[in-house]
Amino acid sequence: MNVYYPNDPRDSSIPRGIALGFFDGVHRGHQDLVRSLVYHSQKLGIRPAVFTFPEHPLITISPEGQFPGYLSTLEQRLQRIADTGVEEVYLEDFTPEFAALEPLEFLDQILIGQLNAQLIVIGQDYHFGRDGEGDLQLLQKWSSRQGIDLVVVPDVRLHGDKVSSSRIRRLIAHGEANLAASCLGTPFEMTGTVIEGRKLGRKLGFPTANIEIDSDLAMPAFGVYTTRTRVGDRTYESITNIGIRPTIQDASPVPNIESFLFDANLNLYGRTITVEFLHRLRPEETYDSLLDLVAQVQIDLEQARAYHRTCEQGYELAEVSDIPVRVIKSTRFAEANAVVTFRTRINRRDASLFALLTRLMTASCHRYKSRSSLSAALDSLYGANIEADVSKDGDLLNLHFAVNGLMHWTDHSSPFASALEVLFDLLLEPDFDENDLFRQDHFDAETQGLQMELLARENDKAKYSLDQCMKLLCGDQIFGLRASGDLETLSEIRREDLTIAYQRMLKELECQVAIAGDLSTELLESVLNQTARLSQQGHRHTRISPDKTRNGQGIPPDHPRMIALTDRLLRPTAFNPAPIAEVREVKQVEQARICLAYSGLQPYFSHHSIVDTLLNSMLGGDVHSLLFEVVREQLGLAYSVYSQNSRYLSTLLVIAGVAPDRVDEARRAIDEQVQNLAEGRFEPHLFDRAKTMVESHLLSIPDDLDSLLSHLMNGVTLGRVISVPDSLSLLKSVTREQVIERAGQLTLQSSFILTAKEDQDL
Amino acid sequence: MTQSYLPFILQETSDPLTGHVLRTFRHPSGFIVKILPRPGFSRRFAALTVPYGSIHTTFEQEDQLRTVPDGTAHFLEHCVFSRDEAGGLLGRLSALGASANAYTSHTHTLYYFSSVFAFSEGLNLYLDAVLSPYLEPDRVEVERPVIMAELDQYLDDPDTVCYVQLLNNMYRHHPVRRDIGGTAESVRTITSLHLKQVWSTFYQPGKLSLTLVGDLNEQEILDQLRTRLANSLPIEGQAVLPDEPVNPEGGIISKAMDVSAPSFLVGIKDPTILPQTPLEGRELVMRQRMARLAFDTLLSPASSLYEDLFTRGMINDSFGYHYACEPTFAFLAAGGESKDPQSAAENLIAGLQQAFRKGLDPDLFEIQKRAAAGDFVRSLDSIEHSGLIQAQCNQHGLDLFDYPSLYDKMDAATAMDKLKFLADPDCYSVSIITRQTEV
Repeated sequence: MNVYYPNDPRDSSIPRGIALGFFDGVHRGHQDLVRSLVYHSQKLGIRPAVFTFPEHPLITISPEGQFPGYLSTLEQRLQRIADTGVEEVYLEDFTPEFAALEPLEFLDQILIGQLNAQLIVIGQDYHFGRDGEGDLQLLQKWSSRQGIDLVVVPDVRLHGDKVSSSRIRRLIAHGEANLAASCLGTPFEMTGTVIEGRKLGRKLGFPTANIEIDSDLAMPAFGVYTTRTRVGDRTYESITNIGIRPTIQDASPVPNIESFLFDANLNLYGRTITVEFLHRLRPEETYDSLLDLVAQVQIDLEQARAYHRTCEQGYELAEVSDIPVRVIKSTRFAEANAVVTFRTRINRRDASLFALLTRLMTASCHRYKSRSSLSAALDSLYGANIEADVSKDGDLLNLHFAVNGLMHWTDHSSPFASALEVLFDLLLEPDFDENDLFRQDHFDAETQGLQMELLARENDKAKYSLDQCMKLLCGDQIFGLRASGDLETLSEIRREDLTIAYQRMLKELECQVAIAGDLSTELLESVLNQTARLSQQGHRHTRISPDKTRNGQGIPPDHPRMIALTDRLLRPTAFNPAPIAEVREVKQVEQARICLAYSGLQPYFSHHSIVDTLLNSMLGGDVHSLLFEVVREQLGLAYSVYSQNSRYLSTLLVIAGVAPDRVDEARRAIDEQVQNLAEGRFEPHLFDRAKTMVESHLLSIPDDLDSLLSHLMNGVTLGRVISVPDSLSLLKSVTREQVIERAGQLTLQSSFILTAKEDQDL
Repeated sequence: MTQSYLPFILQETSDPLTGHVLRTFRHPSGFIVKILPRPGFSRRFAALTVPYGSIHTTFEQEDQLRTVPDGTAHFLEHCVFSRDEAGGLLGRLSALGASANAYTSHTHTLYYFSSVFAFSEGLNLYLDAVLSPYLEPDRVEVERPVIMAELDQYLDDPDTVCYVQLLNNMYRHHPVRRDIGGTAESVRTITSLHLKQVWSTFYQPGKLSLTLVGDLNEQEILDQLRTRLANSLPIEGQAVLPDEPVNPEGGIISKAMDVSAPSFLVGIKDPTILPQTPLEGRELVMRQRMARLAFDTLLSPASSLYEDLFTRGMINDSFGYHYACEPTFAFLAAGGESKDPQSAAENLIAGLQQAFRKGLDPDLFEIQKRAAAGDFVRSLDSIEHSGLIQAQCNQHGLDLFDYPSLYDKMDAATAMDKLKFLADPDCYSVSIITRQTEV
């Protein structure tokens, strides 16, 4: 992402999509807005850019100091914007001259004249121009006159109120760190340099790091917090006191932040560290004596440790070169899971290449030279499992290498820790021959295995129909490629290609590691060491991020005219469906299959996609749904009929198995149910039942370690990690009208029917 | 330690490995409740095991011999779920956010559901539906076309066709040879009367067992059950099965279908378990588990036979095997997709016989014991999984926690002795699905 400072030249020849706002903290509402910009710009083939200010306009408007502090430094704000896939940020000083611009002058001179805006993306209550006179209504009229697309992104509502920067500042000021984190989408954090303190904590057995803080940032309510502290690329669980330490004599009236890092023995003096505020344990209190304070601190430490051990929140433990390692700690399960994911944008050749590579890599390795010896090794670890598969999120191809096993056994061994070593052996020590090629016999067997897998998919008529429908929906776009490749490309792959693919995987593909379970410090250190091996073998490099190079608010005096920030993760691209198409195919089948694809769901990242989840539940996702209830139960037209959301394609799919002589009748009945939803013709209890069912699914996520891990990693791909309670809050805010409106947006895009006879009953 | 929860009798066992507890409550009617408490989990699970499956088409009822059409057990399962004005059982449960399902096997029918909210209410609905289903002709006629559509779906599924064909080839008289759902012809002849005959004989509390897992209010559930079971008495009624020859028809049976990937299954009929020589309870489970370890030793990816067949391209990842072992029948089915299914089947049979003659590798057998022990502990991490295993154990009067002690008593030499029939070529048969164009 290129950042253009106020006096940098602006190239008006490039058509752009422009998002407008200050984006302090880049909270969940901002994330939806900025991601919408990227999404719609991709659809239009234009460059997504953000127009914003380095300093908050309130500082100019009310110089008396009413601004309560930032939620993020400028650098953090820019990096978070870069993480959404925005390509340019234009910073404009909010000078009195700028503030005096008429609304239309702003639109015509800056957005069109300087930035060639073809698309404008704003929030619901955006105001601009002199005295904020420019509003949505004016913008709508202007954009329609100019032929410019306007997208108004709805607010995100969480825990009873709209997510906004001012609300988050209030939450922080009231010590509601957990709610602030919910709204921000990440904990509120403060970065500073560790300075010499009174070393009282060291004397008492818990050495703390005293941090010099940025006075421009919002100040959390005084008290004791469970926190996480980032030191370089590593995050430590910690406990932090923020306040004036009233119990200690000659207490300084200047607020002080001091953190104690659990399970870390580091010399932090002079280093820049970042404290993330998770949850306030208690407000700051005055104790009668130092002994009372020490007793209380012991209780605080215990509570903080318990919180970290049992909160089951995922977080980034470390970034090893450019590989993030995420963890979820839970004490409720006997087993532990880990997954190493590699990711790239899909193309036809890579799909077959990497599908075959994952198979070869999990068939053997240098230590276990055969499938049988590898399987026996895992079986002897009390049935530990290692599995590899390829999958797709939109146009992204994922290679997953997953391991699970029991964390402990009665002989004091850790089968999981040993299985994890085997996984890294598979990744790092492939069973190459003297020419650095996968062995010929393994290559032949795995190629044949993949060929059979590709052929066998056609055996299942429902999957076959779905594949055909997806082909219609995607046309010749890469979105339509199958993750496991195709027979033709597979037949062209040579052993040499796989060695190159393996090296590419280690060196070039985006890599992530995630682990969940009752994780000891020793195990986590071992994971980090193994990840370091992975990184070294791939010659991967540490990313340059502004957090690591600079600190502070405002424009650095020595700033370059243009700085480059990279999106830290690959994101699925926005999808445009192919033109409307319908195909009927005749085969010798006992049961006809109908597969329909409706476009019109929301962009995959939207916090409002929970509406789509409810829509699916009401239409065909559950047994109370219209399709199940009417098409199957009342009309008896199908044994199997259901719907599912293809989230990354913003598409809803309906799949049904029906008697060949009732295809058209069933097709009409399905269409009618979609219409019924769009026109609000359904029993009131349908909406309530769908909500209860979705709520129930969400509440069940923590019952399963694999679900917890998948929930975290899905959140990473979506670009918005969200806890179960926050998801429940989003669900709660959905109204019946929102579902009806969304159903009204559905358009039948592709229809594939597999039937046994050509005569239809029309 | 035994305590009294009148009229239930409580027995509590615990697993030394994990510390988990299983509480068994026995009612005088014969109704059994197994509770596996899992505090801290949101979802709660219930499963009701009915000891009536597709093979029980002939049974004694009030000293009379009754025969019902094939597919009656499956039809009855559908009727329990069938909709009514209030949306049926599924509708009522979904209103509570519960997910419900059921399956019919050869030997039993299992009804299960899980929910986060209103578990006791859901359980009551479930018990009402199973213990007092509406089985009148109007319900039967509504459900018939849905079942026919389900059967059609299976007819397009090469795996199901291959499996049914194999059973048909292995068994000559035993009703296990017929599809669980019946045929279009048999389903057309099922009446309300047939369903009521089955229900009144087998769907009685004294024959049922209930498995519950999760963070439960035990007292509330027992109070509900106490009221419901107040007038329940033990019920007589026994399925009758024909004698079955020791050996299968044998040979290869094949069918051409519209498939891209052909497939095969090798079946080995266990001649020691037949209607005339049944096996039950702990002995049966012991045999099931021992055979599982033996087949894991012989056929799992850790075996040399699997390695050999895989490397030669005879089998691929779709290869699987399953040893079915029930009181009146037992067999191994092994196979998967293959470019050359006949050759794959022949190679598998030859390899299996050769491997068996060489003897089970005792080290690999011990490794499989470790894997099985680990599987058991891992299963306890899942509310649903542990509940389903216990529900299946209920048929044989066993507890989930009995598994580890069963494994302790097993060794390769004993397993070899119990599975001698593997060396007998007469016990083998083969089912193949070929591509349509090849015929």
